[in-house]
Formats: sequence, C-alpha cells, structure tokens
Amino acid sequence: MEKEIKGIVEQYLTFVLDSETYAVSVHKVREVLEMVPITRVPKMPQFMKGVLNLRGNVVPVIDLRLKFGLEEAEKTVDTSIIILEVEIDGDMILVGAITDSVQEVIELDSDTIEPAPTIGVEINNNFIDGMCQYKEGFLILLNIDSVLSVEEVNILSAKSEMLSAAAENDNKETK
Amino acid sequence: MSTNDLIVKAFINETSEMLSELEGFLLDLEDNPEDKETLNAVFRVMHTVKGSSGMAGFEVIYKFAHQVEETLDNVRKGVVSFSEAVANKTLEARDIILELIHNGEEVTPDLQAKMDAVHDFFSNPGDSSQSAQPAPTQSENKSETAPVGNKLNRFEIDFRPNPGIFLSGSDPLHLVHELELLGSVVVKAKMDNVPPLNHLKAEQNYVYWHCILDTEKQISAVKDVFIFVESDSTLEIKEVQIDTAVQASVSEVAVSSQQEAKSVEQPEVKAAAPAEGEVVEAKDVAQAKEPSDQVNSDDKKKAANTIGDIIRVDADKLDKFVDLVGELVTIQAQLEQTSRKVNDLELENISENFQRLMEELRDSALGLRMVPIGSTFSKFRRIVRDISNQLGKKVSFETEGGDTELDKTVIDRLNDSLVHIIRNSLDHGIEVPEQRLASSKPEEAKLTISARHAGGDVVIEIRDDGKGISKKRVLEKAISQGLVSADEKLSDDDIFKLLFVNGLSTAQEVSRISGRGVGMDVVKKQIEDLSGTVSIYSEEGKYTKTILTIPLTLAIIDGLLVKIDKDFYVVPLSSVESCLEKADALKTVKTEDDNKVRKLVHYRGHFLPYIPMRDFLEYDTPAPKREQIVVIQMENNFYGMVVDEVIGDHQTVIKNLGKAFKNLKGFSGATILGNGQIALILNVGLIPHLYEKLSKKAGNE
Repeated sequence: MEKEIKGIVEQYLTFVLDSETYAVSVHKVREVLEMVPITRVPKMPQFMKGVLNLRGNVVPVIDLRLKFGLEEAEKTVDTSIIILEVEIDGDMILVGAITDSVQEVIELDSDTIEPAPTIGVEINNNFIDGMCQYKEGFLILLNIDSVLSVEEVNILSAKSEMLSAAAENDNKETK
Repeated sequence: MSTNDLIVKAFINETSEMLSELEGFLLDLEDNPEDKETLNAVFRVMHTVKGSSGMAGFEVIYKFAHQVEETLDNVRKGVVSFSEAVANKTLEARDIILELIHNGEEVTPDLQAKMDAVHDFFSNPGDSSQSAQPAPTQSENKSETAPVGNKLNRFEIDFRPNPGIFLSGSDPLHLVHELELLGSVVVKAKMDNVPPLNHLKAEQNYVYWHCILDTEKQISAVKDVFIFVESDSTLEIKEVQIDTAVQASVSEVAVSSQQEAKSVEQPEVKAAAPAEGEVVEAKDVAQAKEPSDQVNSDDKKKAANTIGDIIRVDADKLDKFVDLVGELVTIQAQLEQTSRKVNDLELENISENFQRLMEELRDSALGLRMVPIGSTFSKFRRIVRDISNQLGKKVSFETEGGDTELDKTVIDRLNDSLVHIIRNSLDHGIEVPEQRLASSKPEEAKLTISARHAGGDVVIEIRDDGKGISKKRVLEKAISQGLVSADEKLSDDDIFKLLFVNGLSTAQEVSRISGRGVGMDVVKKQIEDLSGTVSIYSEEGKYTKTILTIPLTLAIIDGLLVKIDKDFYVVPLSSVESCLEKADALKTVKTEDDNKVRKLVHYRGHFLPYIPMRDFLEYDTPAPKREQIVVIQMENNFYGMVVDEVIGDHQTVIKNLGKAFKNLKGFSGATILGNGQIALILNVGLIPHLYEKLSKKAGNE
C-alpha cells in the first residue's frame, strides 16, 4: 500500500556535515560543484572562505562547518560546494557552501516535518526550519536564508564599525 | 509590456530629457533675452511636450502645457516681452510638468495650488505689457486699422498627407481639428484620390484637406500645427487678403469652391508649386516671409536628422554588452597564456591579432557608456540661480570642459556630491554684494566648474572667488571638538583635510542650505566609493576650490598584477608611480614620531612610508627573501606597498564583490585572471588609513 500523502510534497537536497545529515530545499540550490580553488578574501570572519570563479561570476564561499562552530575538516574527494541562491537585504545572490559530502535529492511530505527541538541540537535554532525522520536517524532542514543573512551581516558590520571608528581617528594621525 | 506602457515609458523618458533641455534654454534666455533662436527652441520644446503628452494620454499636462505654450508664442511674436517673471513662471511650469510626469498626473492639492498660480500668471502674463495691449474685440478684428497683432488673418491651407502617414503614428484628422483652436475654420475633405474599393488599402490615407482659417495668429502658429508632419506631407499655407466688403462666410464659400474646382481640374499638379493666380493673391508680406521660413524648416530638418543619428539604448542592454566584452577580455588573456605555453608561431599570431582587436573592442564598448558631463553641469545652473537669488547674492556661473566624457554611472553617482559642494560655495564661500564691494571685489561673484582629463582620471574642479576658508577657525573648531590637540602643528593640507571630518562645520549659523557639518564627510565617502579622491584648497579672502579626481570608468581598468603568497592582487595602474626592489631601496629606516613607529624607505632622495601588504592582508606565512615595492601616488602623496612579486600589466575587468562583502573595506572589487583564478583589486586610496588603524590597534595591545 502506498504511503498516504497528507501535506505538500517538496524536494530537498541532503548533505552531510560532521555526523549529521542536513537538507535544503532544491529551490534554493543552483548547482553542486566539486571542491575548486578558492581565493581568500582578507579581513573576513573565518567561515568566509573567500570567493570562487563560477563561469566568470565572483561567488562568495562559506564553510558551513566553521559557520556552525564545528572543526574545519580535511578536504576529501567527497567535499562539495553547493551553490545556493540566498536572499540578502531583499536581493538574490549566489553563495557557495562547503559541505563534507552531498547525498541525494529526496521528497518530503510537509506533514512529516516537525518543529526543531529547543535543546539537543548543536547549531543555532534560528537556522533550522524543522526536523524529520530520515533512514535510521534525523534530518535537519536548514533555513539557508537565515544562516547566511542575519548573522553574517551582523558580524560583517560589527567588523566594519571597528574599521570606520578607526577611520575617524585617521585625520588626527595623517599629518 | 503592452504597447501603451511602452508609449508612456518613451514619453516619460523623452519628456524628462526635453524638460532638462528646456531649463538650460530658459537660463540662456535670461542671460540673453533677445536671442530669438533660443526663444524658438523653448517654444518648440513646450510644443513637443504638449503634443506628446496629448498622444500619451497625459491630459492634465496637455492642457497645462498648452497654456504655457500659448504665452511663449506671444513672447515669440513680441506681443509679450520676455521678462524675469515669465522666465520664473516657465521654470515653475517646467517643474510642475516634471512632477506630473513622475507621479502619474496625480494632482495633489499642493500641486494644484502651484498650477493655479502659474495658470493665473499665464492667463495674464506681464501686467505692463498687457496694459499696452488692449483685449481685442470683435469689431476691432474686422476693422482695417486694428493693430497688427490683432488683425484677423486668413489662411488657405492645403494639407496633403502622404499615403503612409498613419504608419508614423500621426493622425491627420487630429491636426485638422487642432486648427479649430486657432480660430474659425472651414474644412473640406477631398476624396478624389480615394481609389476604388478593390484597390483601397485600409492602412493608407487617401484623403486630403482644404481649410480656410480666420485667425489672429500669424502664419508661424499655423505652421506649428503641422510641425511633426511637415516632412511627410505636402503642405501649402497661403495668407489671403480679406476683402472687408465681402462677408466672411460668402468669401469662404467662394474661395473654397474655387479651390475645389481647381483641384478637380488639375489633380496632377502638386500643391507645393502654387499656380500663378494664387501667387498674385498671396500677400506681399507672406511672400517676403517665405524664404526665411524655408530656412527655418531646413534647420529644423537638419536638427531632426542629427537627433535621428542617436539611438537610445536601454542602460541594461549596454551593461550586458560591456559585461560580455569583459568576459571576452578574460578569454583572450587565457588564449594568450595558452598560446605562449604551446609555443606555436601560428597560434601566437592569431592570439596577437585577437588581442589587438580585443583592445579596440574594449575601448569602443566602454566608449558607449561615456557621456559628456555637460548635461550635469547645465543642471547646476538652475541650482546656482535659485540659491543665489534666495540668498541675495550675485553669482555668475561658468562651466568649462562640459564635453569631457565620463562613464554614465559615474556621472550619476557624482551628482549629489557636486550639488553639495556648489551649495557650500554659494552659502559659505560667496559673500553678499555689499561685503564683496567692501573688500574691493567685483559685486558679482564667479563660480566656475570645470572638468578635464588627466591620464585615466577626470579632474573636476569647483572654484569660487568668495571669502575662502579661515584656517584659524577650522583649527579652533577642530581643537574645541577634540579632533586635534592645541599644540599640534598642522600643514595647510592637513587643516583642509579636517573639513572632511564628520561634525566639523565652521558656519556661524545653520541655514536651510547648509552648515550642519554633515556633508563634506559624506561627499568624501561618495567620491571614495567611486575610487576617487577629493581635496580642498583655499586662500582666505580670495578663493576656495574643491578638486575631485575620478576614474574614467568603473568597468575595465588597466591594472598592475602583484602576487602575495599564492594570491594575486591588482593595483590600478593609474595610481602606480613606479616599482622597485625592496633591497635596492637602501635600508629600512624606523623613526620615532609622536610615539608611533613609521616605516620608511629611501626613495629618490625622499623618505617614503611603506605598508607591508603581508601584514595588512593578514598573511602569516614567511615573506620571500626578495620583496618588491610598488610606489603608489595619491595626488601629491606617495607611499610604498611591499608585495612578494610584481607580475605585470593586466587588463582588469572589474567584478563587483557583491552584497556579501559590502562592508569590506580596502578592496574595490575582484577580477578573473587568464587561468581562472580570482584576484582582488586593491583600493589604494583607503589602504593607508586602514593600515594605520591596524598598526595602532596592534601597538595598543
């Protein structure tokens, strides 16, 4: 007998970070790349790995492990970069996210998705849209917009405020 | 997008442009009220605005513009003299129309009040001239002794549009109706050219018209009705003497029937070549006028042709094109690299040819986005005029180098800064006339804005001959705000630099125009965002000048490629003075200066401060034994940038780093190298400030 579908079925791309499996909506995914050379951008938070060349476009890349406070891992043949479409300040931009490995595209019934528990999850609760059962374990559905927008912008502007505060002293010093 | 939307969009674009032209014309006219040419231009613009607003369905504008046009026409005919009041009101009218266009003809009460004011003025323009011009009455019109302006003129108009006139979007019938606005008119539509039904093409026009118009207007007003279809039609306008003994209606019938007979008799004869009898009938005045009118319409045609040579292109399309050329430049660099590796002479030849063509293509692609800065300058005339009037100051505004070309995006982004600087000059710099006379300066102040090319940059200078900047007051203010300590000795340059610090204003009181101390710091930021620099020079009591240096384009630059560790960076070549080996630069000198360590190298007899880029860019790998120094020139200052290796010239297609890095300072973008690797472009103007902050922080820790 076929499984009864109650809610809306959507497709998700699953990937692995450390020992956990995560998923993002396929609508957010532009493409998946193998590990490619990344150009470092100085003065950025650690998780901002730099920029990559996506057919002539300069695309920023973040390391999701570092973003979630995990240890940086050795890059292996499985290491993949997911190119995501993310909304920052109302604009759609492309961002690459480094993951340990990309698994598969699955279909999830929205009714099987449960809200994230407030405790027992390693990453910030705001980043999670929900959780659901997957194989023997759990699947964490990421809200990629919040992973990349709010927090990141805050960190960056905090850093730049430091710089601009210093810039105000410049006129004293340039003589 | 529907056709109608397209029409409205085209109308908005076109009219906005014409209105800014109009502003320039009006200001010209104010300086030189006798200039008929400009007056005609003003009239033409208003006429076109009226016409196209009617076509695009902007009824409010149509009616409003019609009235303004009417008055302008009277000015043109000399019935009303061109006064400052007329100029003022026409400028106001222009602003109102502009507002109406942009808010979709939503008439707010405020706007309505403004419109009414203008309306009242135009229905009774210039009281003095009006009083000398008694309102014409019917009886006067008919009498032969009536003044020229009021005399009823009769015109015979033979209007034969081309069969294809509908294709150009004109409706001939509409024009015929427009004649009714001028006076009483009898219209006969002639059908004799209409072919039998089986030959008739529905989209062609076969009808022509014969009209007899009695109007107070001159022949030019009648011609203006047909101004847009002149080239597409055979048009003949003749002035006929009115036989006062014959009743108007009778003569109308007589003439029209006579005309009718004629057109039936000689359908082959082109109306443009009038038959003999008609010439005799035509008034001497009309004949004498004919040649000059001919010249006029020739001129108009010429003008129309020049306009025809310009193609309007969507800015997005252009950007896309420039982007593609940018991609090509990248590919070409790859090809060059590969061909060198392969070491095949034939391939190298191709690559070289490709490179040459590519450079040409790049230059012309970038040239497409270049527009003369003059259009921006002319906008400032209005600002200068309005503000100086408001402040009771006399200012002559001069522009130089308006044909200097700059990237359109750069010009757009410059606008606010320039307005700010000009306002500053008018408000703080230039004195009121009495004060100027007292300090034995000419009563009228001079404000000059000039633009010129200097290498890859454009230098814009705004200069006034006002009271200048008091260095003492700037210094006092800065000390009182704790920006500098009282015992510090500052050079003139440094004092003027204080003007860019947020919160410092030396204005005695805050006016509505400026003086709140915000502003110059914003200007500085805006200019730096364009990778430009700004500086102020002044001599107290004599002048103030503000100099902006802006790169020509934001899209592709010549860069110097340098390497640090495994990464590449690009330095804009325009700011590179020279390159040298660090070892050659004698010994590194460290001097104690205000408890701050300065790193200096000896360079051409001077001590040059340098920035180790490895420190600045936070590399922790050891530096190579041989490092190189790129000497950067910023206006009159130099500094050195220590890098691992200087690679060479690089055609740099600038890619925006995007929103993710919007707060990142010290870089103005990124570029993609021939091998696909990304190189960041250094913002050499900002780096010294950022570095000093960095080393200060390190020193504190």
